[in-house]
Amino acid sequence: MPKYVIERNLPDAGKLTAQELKAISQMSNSVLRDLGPTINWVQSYVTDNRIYCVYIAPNEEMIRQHAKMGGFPVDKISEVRAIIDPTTAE
Amino acid sequence: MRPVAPRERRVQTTAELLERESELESLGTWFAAMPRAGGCVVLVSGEAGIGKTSLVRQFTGRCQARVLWGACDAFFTPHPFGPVRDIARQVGGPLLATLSLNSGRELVFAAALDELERGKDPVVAVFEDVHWADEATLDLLKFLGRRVGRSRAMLVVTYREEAVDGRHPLRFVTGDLPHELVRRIRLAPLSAQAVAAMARGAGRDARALYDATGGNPFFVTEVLAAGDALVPASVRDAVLARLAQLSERARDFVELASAVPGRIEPWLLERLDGIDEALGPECQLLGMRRGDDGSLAFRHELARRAIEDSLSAERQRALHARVFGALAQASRIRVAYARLAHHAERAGDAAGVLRFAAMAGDHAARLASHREAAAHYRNALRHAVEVVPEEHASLLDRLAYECFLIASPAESAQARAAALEIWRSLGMPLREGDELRWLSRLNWFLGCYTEAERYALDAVRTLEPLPAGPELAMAYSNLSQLRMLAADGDEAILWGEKAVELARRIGNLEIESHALNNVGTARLGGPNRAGQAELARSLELALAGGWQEHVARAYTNIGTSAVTRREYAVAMQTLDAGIKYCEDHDLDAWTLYMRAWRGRAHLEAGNWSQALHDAEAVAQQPGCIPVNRVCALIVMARVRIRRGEPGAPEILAEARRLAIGTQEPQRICPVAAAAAEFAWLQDDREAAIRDARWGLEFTRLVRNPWPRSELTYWLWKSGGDVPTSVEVAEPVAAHLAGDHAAAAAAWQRVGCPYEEAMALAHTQAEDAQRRALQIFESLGAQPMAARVRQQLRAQGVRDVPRGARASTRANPHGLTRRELQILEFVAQGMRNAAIGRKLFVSPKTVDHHVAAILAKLGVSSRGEAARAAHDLGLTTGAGTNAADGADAAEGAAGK
Repeated sequence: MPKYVIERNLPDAGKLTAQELKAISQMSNSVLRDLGPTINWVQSYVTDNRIYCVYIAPNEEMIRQHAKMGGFPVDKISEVRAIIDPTTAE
Repeated sequence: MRPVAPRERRVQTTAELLERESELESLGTWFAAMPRAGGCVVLVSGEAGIGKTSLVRQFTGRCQARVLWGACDAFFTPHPFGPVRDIARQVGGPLLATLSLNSGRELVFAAALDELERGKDPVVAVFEDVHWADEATLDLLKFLGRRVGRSRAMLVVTYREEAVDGRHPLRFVTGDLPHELVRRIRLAPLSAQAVAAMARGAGRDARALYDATGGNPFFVTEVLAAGDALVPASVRDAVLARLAQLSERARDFVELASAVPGRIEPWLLERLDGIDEALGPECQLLGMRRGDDGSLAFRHELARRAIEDSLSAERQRALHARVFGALAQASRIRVAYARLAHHAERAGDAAGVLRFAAMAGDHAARLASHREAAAHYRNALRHAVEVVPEEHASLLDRLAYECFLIASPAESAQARAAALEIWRSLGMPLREGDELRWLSRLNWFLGCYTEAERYALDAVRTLEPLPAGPELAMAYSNLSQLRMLAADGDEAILWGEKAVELARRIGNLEIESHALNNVGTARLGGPNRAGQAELARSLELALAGGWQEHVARAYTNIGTSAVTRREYAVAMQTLDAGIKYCEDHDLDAWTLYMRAWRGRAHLEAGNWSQALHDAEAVAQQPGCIPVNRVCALIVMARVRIRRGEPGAPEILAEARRLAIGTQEPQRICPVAAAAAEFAWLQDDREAAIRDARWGLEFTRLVRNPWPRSELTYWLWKSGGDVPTSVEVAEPVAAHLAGDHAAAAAAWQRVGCPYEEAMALAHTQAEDAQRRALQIFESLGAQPMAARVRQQLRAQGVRDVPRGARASTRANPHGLTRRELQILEFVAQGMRNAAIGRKLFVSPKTVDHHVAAILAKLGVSSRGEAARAAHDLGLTTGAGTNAADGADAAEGAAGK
């Protein structure tokens, strides 16, 4: 199944408190439960003004649906074509 | 420093709770009733310092409930959802998530409602000091208030009576809540006896204490705590007297703290130099208190203000600069931009205001707190001296858009004009063209048609030489819209199709939706249900795209053109749906526009009290724009004319002036018709003919025959020459052909009882005239009723029914004895045929009475009428449910 990187612009995201990050994650999980097992949240990276999320999902549409239901911003969705790391060089 | 006697400390905590037993008992009773009766809204009001918060704290401390508590703070411009954020931090979960993510307001509202309905325990949600609330919070209160009845939650809303005048936005919230769910507590000052008891306890002069404080509990407490022999003259003096007793270091700190509205969080305390734990006890003496989370706050905003206001302007600036610096330093902590902007402003830091007010504006705009967004942009612009022109123009654009959304077109146009100058000087024709297009639209809102058209053409001229893009498509569509509103169908279609074609070419669905709306509306009234497909497609695109304004416009144009075609069923259905959509999405300008038109539909359909209800709500709106006002005024004038009530000429004069400004047939023709009708009733035929002719001049381009027909009717009725070739609608054509009975029947089919009665009265037949009289009587149309009565008597008819009986005046809706009798049967669920058999009249007659009853009660179904009857105590209430069933069975009987 395709893997996506999602960019979510959120001013001052880097200043979210632990309580807020928890609430946001709970919200995401609860929407994921409603959407069924085909969409999976891998990980997210919170930076100053943007959150980068990695999801596995059947299509982009489902990712947009997840964002709409949970109230998450979506600014860009890019499909991952390859995953590389230092060992790729070997 | 002098030690403070324990007695005084005790006084301090209890003064606000003296003489509050009955209020606490009411709160307890309402709370206890919730499992049965459902939730409610409690409005707690009173002057500053009267003890609103103390009362609510005492109550929430006692009751077995999950308590949610949010407070509004006294910033220049409040932070969107300020108190809701307090609650969100308390409860976490979806509410906190939606707020942290700046999610759309619908999601925030839904999460807040879920919070009220969650768990086994009942909920008490307190919104404190909402006279300072932001628009988003007030909208949430309205949203929750309308739904709280189905939950087991009590919304407690406190506000300062004196801060909420007639135009305060809170008034519109409380006015819109379901009356049966609202409870009010208005806190009174302490009695002289209570103050005397406290004075005696503290060894003070009772009379002097009462005279100075007026029984304000906060003031009393401050005076007693200050401990001076002399009673200070004001709250401020009392607070300052206490301040004077502190050590210098403590005083310095308290003064710094006075620059922070609301509470000072622990992290802020840490960053503000000059505080150390050793000062704690001294601060407590002043009545400051520590929260559970370590935050520090004044016991009352009055104390904070008293201290802050006592400082020199220079000292205030310096303190705010320190607070601003401490807040801005907190790099790991999210501080509301509104809060930063507030302190920057008070510190006189122009660069800080510019930066944070602009950001606060963007944030508020995203959360649809448009009033606050506009205030922030205004503030930023005041400090935009050393800003690059592009940024300046962009701020003006953002302000203009927010002003447009909060229905302030004049300010919006002013900002657009200023931005236009900047874009022009920068040589940016694309922005210039877009600005011109906006100015056109805004001038239309301002009722200035000529300017609107000039700007529209300028926009097209400016944009056409540039590469075609969305700006040009929108400029075409705007011109199409203007021509459509001016009833120039051919040009509207021409420009609209250009816009549709370009929008499709560049793949812009939003502009396509906008343009299709204009084309569709312009085509309406033509053959083969023309235009309806375009309008339906426009609505569909707008709903799918979530373009709220276009959705609103589609509803509006479908609904209002149905009114002008006198298709009342479609009109009502569409306008009701449109008004509901706009209310749900806070599109106030559209709600008002559609309500004004619904008022007109009610007027024409004979529901005059409902017509007035809509029209007056629109006309009373502060800053009501001309196109809304003119429509509402005509309805108000016509009800007065037809009822024979005073005031119509003045209202008509204003409506005429506003209508002329718009130059649009859809505003001018109804004014002309109303004026002609009024003149005719005054037997001033010449004036009636003049007004009818004036209106007719504007109907040349109008495809829809109804406006022309109405004016032609008054021209004919007043004895003017009617051109033979004129194309008019069926009932008027029947009149012109001399068949007044056919005209009456046609008016009845259309659904206009007043016009039907006018036609019946025109016939010479006695039974038709009797029926006309009956209709006029039931509508409350006294002048025409009197005329028909006179005609009947002049024809030698005996037993002409007399005017409204005394019994009619005894009940508030003016139901006649027969109507009361029938209403009782309706409330028992009986059908017209059965009622007719009982009263020895035909079902048709009963039907007519039922229509009159519905109109007088201002309701639209038999079920509602039954409930209204029950509420008024007119019936026993038995069979109310059966009436609902009968209603369903008979359909819209009585209409």
